Amino acid sequence: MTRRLLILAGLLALAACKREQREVRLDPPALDALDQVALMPNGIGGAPPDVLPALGRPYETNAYQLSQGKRLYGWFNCTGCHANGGGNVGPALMEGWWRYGPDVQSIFASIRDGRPHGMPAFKDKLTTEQIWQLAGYVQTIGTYAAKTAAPTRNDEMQSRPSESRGPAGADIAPPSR
Amino acid sequence: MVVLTPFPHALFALDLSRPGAPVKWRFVPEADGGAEGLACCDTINAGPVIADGKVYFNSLDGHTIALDVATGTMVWNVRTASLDRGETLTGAPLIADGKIFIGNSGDDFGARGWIAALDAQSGHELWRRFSTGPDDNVGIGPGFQPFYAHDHGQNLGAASWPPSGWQHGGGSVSGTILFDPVLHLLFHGTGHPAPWNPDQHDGDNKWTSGLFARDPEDGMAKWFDQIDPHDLFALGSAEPGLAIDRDWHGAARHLLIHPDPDGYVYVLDRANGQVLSAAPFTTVNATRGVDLATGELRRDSNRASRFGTMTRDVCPGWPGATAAHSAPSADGRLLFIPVSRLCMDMEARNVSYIEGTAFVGANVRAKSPADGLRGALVAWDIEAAKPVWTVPEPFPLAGGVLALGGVVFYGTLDGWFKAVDAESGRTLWQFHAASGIIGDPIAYRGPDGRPYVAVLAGLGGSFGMVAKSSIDKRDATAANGLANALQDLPEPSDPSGTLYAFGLP
Amino acid sequence: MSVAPEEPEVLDRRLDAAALDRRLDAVWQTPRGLWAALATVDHKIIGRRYIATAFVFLALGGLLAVAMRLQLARPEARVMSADRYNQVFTMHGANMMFLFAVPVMEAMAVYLVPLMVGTRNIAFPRLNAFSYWMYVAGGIVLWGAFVFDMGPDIGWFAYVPLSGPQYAPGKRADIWAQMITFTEVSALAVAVELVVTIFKQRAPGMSLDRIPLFVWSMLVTSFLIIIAMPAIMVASTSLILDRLIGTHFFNPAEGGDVLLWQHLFWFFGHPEVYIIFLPAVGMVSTLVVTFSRRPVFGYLGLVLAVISTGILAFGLWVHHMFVTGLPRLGESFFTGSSMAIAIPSGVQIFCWLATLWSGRPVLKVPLLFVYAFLFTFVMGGMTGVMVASVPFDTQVHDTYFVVAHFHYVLVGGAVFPLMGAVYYWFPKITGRLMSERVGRWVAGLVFVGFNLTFFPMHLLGLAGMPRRVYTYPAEMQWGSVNLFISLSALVLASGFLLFFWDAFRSLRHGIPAGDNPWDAPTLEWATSSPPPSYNFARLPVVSSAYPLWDERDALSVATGLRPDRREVLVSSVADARPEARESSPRNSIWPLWTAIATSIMLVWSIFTPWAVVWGSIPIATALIGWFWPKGVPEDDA
Repeated sequence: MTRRLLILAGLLALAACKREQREVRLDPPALDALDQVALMPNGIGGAPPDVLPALGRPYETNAYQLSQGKRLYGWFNCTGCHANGGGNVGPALMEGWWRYGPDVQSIFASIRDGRPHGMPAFKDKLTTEQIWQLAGYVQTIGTYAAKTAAPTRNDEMQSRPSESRGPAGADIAPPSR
Repeated sequence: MVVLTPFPHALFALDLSRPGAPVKWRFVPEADGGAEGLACCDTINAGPVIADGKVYFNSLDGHTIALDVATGTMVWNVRTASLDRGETLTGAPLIADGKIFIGNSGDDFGARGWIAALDAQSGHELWRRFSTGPDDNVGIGPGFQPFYAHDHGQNLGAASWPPSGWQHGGGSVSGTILFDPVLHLLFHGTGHPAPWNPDQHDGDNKWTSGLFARDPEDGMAKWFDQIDPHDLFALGSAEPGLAIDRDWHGAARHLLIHPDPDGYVYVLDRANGQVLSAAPFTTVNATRGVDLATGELRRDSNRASRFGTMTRDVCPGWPGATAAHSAPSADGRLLFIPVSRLCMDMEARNVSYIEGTAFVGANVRAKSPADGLRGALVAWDIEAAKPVWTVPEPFPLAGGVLALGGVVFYGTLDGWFKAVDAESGRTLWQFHAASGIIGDPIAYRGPDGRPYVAVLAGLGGSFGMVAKSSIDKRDATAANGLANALQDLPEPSDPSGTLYAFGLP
Repeated sequence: MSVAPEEPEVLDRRLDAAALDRRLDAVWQTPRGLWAALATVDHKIIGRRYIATAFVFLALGGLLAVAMRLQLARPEARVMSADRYNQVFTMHGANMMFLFAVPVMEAMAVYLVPLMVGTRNIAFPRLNAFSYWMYVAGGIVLWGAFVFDMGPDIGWFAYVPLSGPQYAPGKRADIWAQMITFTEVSALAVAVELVVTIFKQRAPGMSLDRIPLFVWSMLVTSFLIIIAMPAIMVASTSLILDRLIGTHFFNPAEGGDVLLWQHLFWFFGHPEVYIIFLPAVGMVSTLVVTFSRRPVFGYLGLVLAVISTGILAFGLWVHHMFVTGLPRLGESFFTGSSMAIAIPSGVQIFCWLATLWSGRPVLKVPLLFVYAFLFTFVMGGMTGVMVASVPFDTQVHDTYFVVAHFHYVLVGGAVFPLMGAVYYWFPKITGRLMSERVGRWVAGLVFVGFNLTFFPMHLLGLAGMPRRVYTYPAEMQWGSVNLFISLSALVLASGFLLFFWDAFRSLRHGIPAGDNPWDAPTLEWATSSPPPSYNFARLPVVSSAYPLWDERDALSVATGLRPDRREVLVSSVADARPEARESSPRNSIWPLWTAIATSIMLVWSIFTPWAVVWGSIPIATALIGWFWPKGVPEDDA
């Protein structure tokens, strides 16, 4: 019994490890490998790069990577067309309905290569790692399940519940009339 | 009747002489889907114009197209706006003097505003003048005689900006362009400076948020009046208003009546650009009136927006106090103004220009005003400079107004097409359309000699976007913050567009 | 409670020494075994644990300091990454301030104050046990997080917006904030116990002007804790709320304020350093008296100095915020008050100097540490007056000058007296003396090592080296001074190692101490070393501030307490006239359960706000068990 508890505690601790690590820079071979997304012919869905599970899928589970994604979301004008997930020129990201598939590699491909009807391609404007950070973050805007690693509010105007509360499933009124 | 759909465009010609007005021909130009990503305010268009047996229209993806109105064959198709620079075309062309005059959109994408003239027969570009930049770009020459001192100077279109800020300065000519055959001048407005964050565009930001008078032959400016120097709230002055010749305080004058998004009705002498009067037609707290001696707005410094701070309850909000076409009464005494009474909270943020992305730099939340009435139709007495009657509306009025024989027609966002009495504002008749109305009603005499009023119903545009299925209203900043103020905007029962025509007795 | 007429045989009047010892021991002892060890409420056992745990944290914090110095010894060193370094300096500061400095002073007080005031146990003994378990839990949470790469990395005072939800991703800052909750609950509990013990449980005749100076310091310190700690609890709770559920306490865009954090934190943070310093002042007073072999010069002055330091301590906090752009007039006020607090400190120092000068000093190891304290703390006080000036502070804020200053006042002002106090009271706690010879080496190594380590930091700070940088370029020319500092830090570390070694060795092999090896005057030396479970067979009655000096042959005692149940004597606040007999709780396991339940709730609430709701249920259950009458005789009183 004690051993099982210890193993459970160890696993929880390891999970915490992964969530809290601050990997600031990947090795170049890993970066190159991250770009190898095998997309389906119609550009929707596909297989993630092989190296992603080997790295521990940090862009979906690591708090630091997700917070970097949130920073990039503002810095690269995503808010101009997608607002804080509600949409404007571009579609909403917080509905939990994904036009090109809910998996992170589809979102990565959308950001890297652009999409028809006006999504620009960012492959020449961001590094691969930054695009993965953005993709992982964008997934949390439209998630139903609350994630501990997801960022909470920014120090700016409040528009919706934070990504760590599962905004796609939130039943909420706007902050003020 | 020729009807243009939103982008990707289809142009329909309806044969009114046959019962049921069947489609006579249909034209679908090639569409570059990427333009949808540059449409700040939905993929709408101000419509086609017909002259000399041809129909002309602008497409969102930057083409100006001329077709033969009888057969629908293309006469010419010219690419006039460049998507790479964030430019799109949403306005209706103006035909005058054998020329086509067009202006671009794209303030929110860092595009520099411009107005161009094309030859109506061939589509060749005759001239193009910009809203920012050095004097030769803008068309400032020896013939430029602005009325006010602060509009005099060298290369103000570059000097009144931070270094190279004018290159992505905005000032789009997205509204109507007016041609005055009496004075032989063009009048148009320019949009707001880019980005919205005012600390990133220090200076007066000539020649944005103002009114130009230009020579139609070469586009050189005759006068300019900057309604809103250093626009803090992205209001702009894109719609010039109405050119009316009438008495003003005893003397006959050539007037330009300009209801501005900043909430004031400006009456200008359109011969020289002097502001004769400026009075508020709705609640305004961002400014405290216009100083007629200098033509400048008096600002309330408590409400100035600044980088990194939140400015609350600024009225009018960024859609402007009026965002659609006003109409004059037949006797020229009254102006019927469709009003939006929304206010906003704005938090300016730093933004970099990244091609293809929005160049805004603000978190915005629109809000209802204190009394909860978000829209109104105001009948404005031009000479007395005050409202005669006001019809309050639950939603902002996004569509234009038609004044016809003592009746004023207008449509609302929740789909009501109304007729009210021009003298009193009393509702005479209303009709519930299948979708919200954001377009201008038109009046025409049919082949049978009867008068008709027609309007397009189809919810969209800046305000109507909120009801689109791709917008999630749970984010208060969605649709540039309008999601916060228009939570109860009903989604149309029929999302497509419908053309209604009503016969008048 | 009124004193019910009891049969005389029940009280302790007629019992002889052996019988009394037997019966008292039966009532007050903590039996052998794990369960009893977990359930004990004996302040001496808890105090010993508290002291030992605090010194474990000192050693761990010292290892972190050595790690930092290894990283900084050379420019552009790669001993640890920037992220690890951020965690290390945050842990070093938070550990030393929250897990060592305040708890060790509290711990010494928990052990010594009941003995010094002549009572059997501290007030609220079960709360005392709870306080220890909460302290240990807080330490485990913080260090456990650090071991799992989740240690806070935002500086020990965690300024927003860096520690806020936007710039501190993950749960690291929440760990910091909850550790605050653990340690503040623990400190508040002890503070309350001390105030009540000192006011109401003093030996008969120990009027306010006869209280030992250490007890006075602990009284003032406890009031400081009670008034200052809530500020940081508010701050850390607001931070957790901002991070967990998106409140806007510190979000300027929605009406919050970033400077609010600094005000709240430093309103606590400045009194915190006096919470650490005042007990050390009390220790110094005790050591000076004993080793000068004469009553202290200026007892009233010393007491008033301690009280006025405590009051003034609340008027200084903005001196930590001189570079935030506050109005100049306001900042000037705090310059004045920061300089003014040097006055009571000066009074104290001159009183001690006068005592030493006019006494017959015995140069034993504790007095060596007092001399080290005098030198080092005065140096630190001088640099303190320097940084109290706004223009100077604008230059040196966030540089190594400030690091040097506060280490001088903290190590000089608190750690040296503490080490002297350990040498002094070790025989009382363990029954054996520490080695005099090794102690001199310890004092020498630590004093020399400390000055060689921290003095050059003043120069580094003036040369511009900022705090909290994980490395620096070689071009800055700071490399040689940093290398010197790092090597000196090894000397300092060796001094501490020698200290720990001596302590461990003396536990087994030290010379047995008698009741009073130093011939000291205060009451704790009136009982055996170590004291029996009941402290005093009969409670002493005092008629002077130095009872063991003024009644050398036989100490007056009071009789009339029951030997068959746990009783303490409650006396009046000013004159210590006996008022009542109060029963004292027996050993209880409920404080441990409550601490476990509270710890679970606090750790769980890092992850979800619902933890506060669901976690309150076990806490309520544990509290019900705690307060449920046990059916023992002590329930009646």
